[in-house]
Amino acid sequence: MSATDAGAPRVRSGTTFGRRSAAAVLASPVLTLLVLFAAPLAYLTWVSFSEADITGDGSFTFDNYAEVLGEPIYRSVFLDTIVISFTAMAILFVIAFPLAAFLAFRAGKWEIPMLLALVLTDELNPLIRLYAWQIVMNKEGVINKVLQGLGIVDEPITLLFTKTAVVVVLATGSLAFVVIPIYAALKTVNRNLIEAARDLGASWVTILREILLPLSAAGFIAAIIIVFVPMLSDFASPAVVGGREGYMIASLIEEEFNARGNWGVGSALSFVILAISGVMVWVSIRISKVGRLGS
Amino acid sequence: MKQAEAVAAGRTVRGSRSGSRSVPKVVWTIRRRELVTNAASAVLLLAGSLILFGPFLLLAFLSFNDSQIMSFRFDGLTLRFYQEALADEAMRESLRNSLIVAGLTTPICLVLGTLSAFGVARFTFRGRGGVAAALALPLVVPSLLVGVGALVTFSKVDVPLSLTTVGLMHIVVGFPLVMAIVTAALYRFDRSLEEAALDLGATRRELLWYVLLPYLVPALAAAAIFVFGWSFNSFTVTFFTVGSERMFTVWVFSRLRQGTNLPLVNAISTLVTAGTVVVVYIAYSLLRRSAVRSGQDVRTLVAGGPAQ
Repeated sequence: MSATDAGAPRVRSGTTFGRRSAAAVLASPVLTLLVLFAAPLAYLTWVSFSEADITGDGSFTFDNYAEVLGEPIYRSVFLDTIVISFTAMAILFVIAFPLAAFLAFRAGKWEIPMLLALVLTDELNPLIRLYAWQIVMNKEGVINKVLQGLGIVDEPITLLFTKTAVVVVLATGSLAFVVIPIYAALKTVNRNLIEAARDLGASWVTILREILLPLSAAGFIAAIIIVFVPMLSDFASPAVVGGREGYMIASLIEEEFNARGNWGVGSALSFVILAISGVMVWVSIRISKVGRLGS
Repeated sequence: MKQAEAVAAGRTVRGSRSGSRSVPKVVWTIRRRELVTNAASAVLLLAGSLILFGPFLLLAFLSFNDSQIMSFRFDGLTLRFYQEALADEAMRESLRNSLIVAGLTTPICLVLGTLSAFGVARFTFRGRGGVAAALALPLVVPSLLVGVGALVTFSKVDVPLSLTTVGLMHIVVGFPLVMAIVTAALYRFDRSLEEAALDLGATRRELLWYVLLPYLVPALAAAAIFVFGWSFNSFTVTFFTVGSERMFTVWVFSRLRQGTNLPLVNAISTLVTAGTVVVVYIAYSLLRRSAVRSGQDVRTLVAGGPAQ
C-alpha cells in the first residue's frame, strides 16, 4: 500500500480534503469516545482506589488492590484463568493453523464457501453455542454416549462443570476469529517462495518453520488480540459450563459487582484483567519482532 | 540458471536412488503423498465443521424431539416447544429489544465509524496516529471493563440503566469496528482515481458522492453486518448495562443459570440460528454482487476487514 503511494508522487498523502475540516469530521467520534469510553474507564480507575460500594463514594485507599493481590483465593483464580485461557489459545492455534493453511492454499473453489461458513460462525449467538455445548458435554450427552457406545468407558465421565469444559468452549467458540486473521496473513505469502523452498529440497517442516510461521506472525498477533483478550472477560462460559471448578477472574468480577456490591474490589480485579491482557499483547508483539529479525 | 540445473539434477539423483524402476516409484510416492494430504484435509475439515456446527445441529434435533429431558432417544416429532417459545412473553420481548437496539445502533455506528475512517485516512494533522490509536481502543480493551465502567459511571451520574444505556455502550464499541473496516477499504483505494476526478473538475462533494461512496458500499455493507451481529450477540457489555430490561443474550443466560424451561430454549435457539444463517447468506449474496460491480474481492472485504 505504501509502495503504491510512493510510486505516485502527484498524490500527496492525506491531503485530498484539506486540513481544516479534519476537526469537523473527527469531532463527533472523538466526543463519543471521550464521554462513553474514556470517562467511564477513568471513573472505574478512581473506584478501584476508593472504598466505594453500591451506595456511593468512599475515600482514597489501596485496600482493594492489597486484597486482590494478597488474598490466596484470588491468586488461585488468577492462576486458573491464565492456565485455562493459555490452554484454549494453544489448542486454537494447533487447530486453526492447518485450517487456515488449507483455506489459503488448497481449498480451490471451496475457498469462498468455507470462508463464508467461518464468517457465519462469527455471527452465531455465543450464548446459544454455550448452551449447545452444555448439552453435548452432559452426563447423558453425545460425548458420553459415543464413549460408552465404543466401550471406552463404562460409567459416564464428568465433563460438564470442569476446567476442561471451559477450555473446550473457549477454544471452539473463537475458532473463526483465529482462522481468519491467520488465513489473511498466509494469503499474502508469495507462493513462489514455497515452490522455491520445495525445489531446493526443504522438507515441509522447514517450510513451515522458516516461511509460513514467520510470515503469518501478524495473523497470530491479531488472533491474540481478537481472541485472548475477550477470553479473559468471559464470565458466561465459566458460569454455564465451568461450575465451581472452572472459575475465572471475570466470574469473580461479576460476583463482586452483582452479588456482593463490592465495587472497589470488582474494579481492582478488572484492572488486573487489563494488566494481563496488556502484558500478553506486548509480549506477543515483541516475540513477533524478534522472530522477524531472526529469520 | 546453474542453480536450477543443480536442483533438477539433485532431484533426479534422489529419485533414482530409490530403486531401479525409479519413475513409477516416484509417481507412486507423489500419489501416495497426495492421498495422505487429501485424507488429512478431509479429516481436518470434518472435525472443523463438527466443532463449529455440530452443537447447533444437535439443538435443532432436540427442539423437534417430543421429550422434556435432554435425551437422544427419539420420542416423536413435535412443534409444541416452538408454540410454547413463541407464546413466551419474556422471550418475545427480549428478542424484540435486542433487534431494536442492534437496528438503531448499526446506522449510528456506520456514520461515526465512516467519519473516523475519513478523518484518520484522508487528513493530515498533528497527532493523527494518536487519534487513530485512541479510536481503536474500545476494540482492544477487554469488554468487561467497558461494561463495569459504564455500570459505575451511569450509577454515579444517576442515569438509570435501560435499553438506551445498552445502546450507547454498543455504539462506542461498535463504531471503531466500522472504522477499522472502512479505513482498510480507504487505504486499498487507488488514490490516483481521486486525483483524476479532481483534475477533471469534480468538486469535493461530487468526488465523495460519485467516486468514493460507490466504492465504499461493499465495505459499509460488510461493516453493517458485523456491527449488527456484534450488537445482537453482545453479552458482557449488555449484561452490565441492561438493568432490569430484557435482552436476548441475557435472557438465554438467565435461563441457563436457572436451568428451567430448557426445551423452550432449544426451540428459540434453533429459530434464531436459522434466522442468522438466512440473513448472513442473503447479506453475503448482496455483498458479493456489489463487490463484483466495484471490482473488489469479497475475500478481502470479509477477511481483510477486521483483521486489516
